[in-house]
Amino acid sequence: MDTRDDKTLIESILAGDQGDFALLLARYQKLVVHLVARMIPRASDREDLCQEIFLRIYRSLGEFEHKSKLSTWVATVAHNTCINYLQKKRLPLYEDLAGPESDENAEASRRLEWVPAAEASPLEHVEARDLRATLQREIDALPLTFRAILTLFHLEEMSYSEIAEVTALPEGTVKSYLFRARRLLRDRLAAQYPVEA
Amino acid sequence: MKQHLNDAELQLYLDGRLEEREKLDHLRGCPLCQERLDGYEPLFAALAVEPEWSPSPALTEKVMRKIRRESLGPLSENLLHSLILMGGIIAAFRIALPFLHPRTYLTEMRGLRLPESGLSWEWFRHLNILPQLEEYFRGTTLPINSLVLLGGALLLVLLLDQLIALARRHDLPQSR
Repeated sequence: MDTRDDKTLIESILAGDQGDFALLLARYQKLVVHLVARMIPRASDREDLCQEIFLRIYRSLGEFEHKSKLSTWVATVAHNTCINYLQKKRLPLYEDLAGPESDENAEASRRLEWVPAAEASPLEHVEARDLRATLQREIDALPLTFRAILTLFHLEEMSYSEIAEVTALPEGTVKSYLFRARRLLRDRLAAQYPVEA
Repeated sequence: MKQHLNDAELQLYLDGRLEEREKLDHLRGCPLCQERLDGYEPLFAALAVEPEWSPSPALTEKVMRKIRRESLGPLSENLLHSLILMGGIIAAFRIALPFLHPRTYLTEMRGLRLPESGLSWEWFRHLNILPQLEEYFRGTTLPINSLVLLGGALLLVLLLDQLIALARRHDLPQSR
């Protein structure tokens, strides 16, 4: 296994050793694949998009100035490429994000914030595999930015500030979107798995 | 502390980012807050599970193949490849020259009239600098026609190459 750090690897690639890019690709493949899988609804488009993202990374590697982590920069390239792709396909990007919560959601949230102690959590009754499948469907139904933020936070373990850098949003907004996305998911899952009396 | 934790604080706790001691103490001793916390835990666990989709195992090879192909350009930044391509064009032209008979072809074409515009090929002769060049280099063995055509072809290739390189650079992310 190659133990060279990212900077050394980049220098080697820029000096002409293309083979080292395969190592860089292996290192960041999961990050790119996670973002593409969560942001692009059509599975048949994802493979080409992953290729496009890595080609963009290769072409602009010389412009990376090591001011941030390479993972943040790679995620930015992946995020922007996905956004560009969705814009070209004329798919909605920012629906239902900045506005106030709907009455229905607000009511559901209030209800779930004060679950009586005697009731068990609805999600506790759900089989893990079932929950995963339902969750995936519900994530796909979330607005794009929520999906990207959830992925970067939970799968890539990025900090709020790193996510803010990737998505070009203020840190406070990232935090607020993350909380809202999770509450939305919890509410929707709770609605699908009601507690039996 | 009697006040229960709000939703955001519960999420902060699960993220490992709730630091206020008072709230942490309350959470430990409050069955209601614990119950609400339990409502989030399966969701947090499921969110950390990787998506089921994965690319084909050939992804790396496909990307590397495209990179190898791309590394041939842009020519203006890669003198070696430019020279190889120029050599290839010269060789191809020299091989094809005896079969093309360009002088005979041009003479025949000059006599024709263009039916729609009424322009004669004679008019275009004024734009043809080859006779002057031939006159200038008379007595030398330089293949003027070949060099002029070659120069034009090379300029065209370089122009196309630059346009392709420009298109590739378009829309790349800001450097960080």
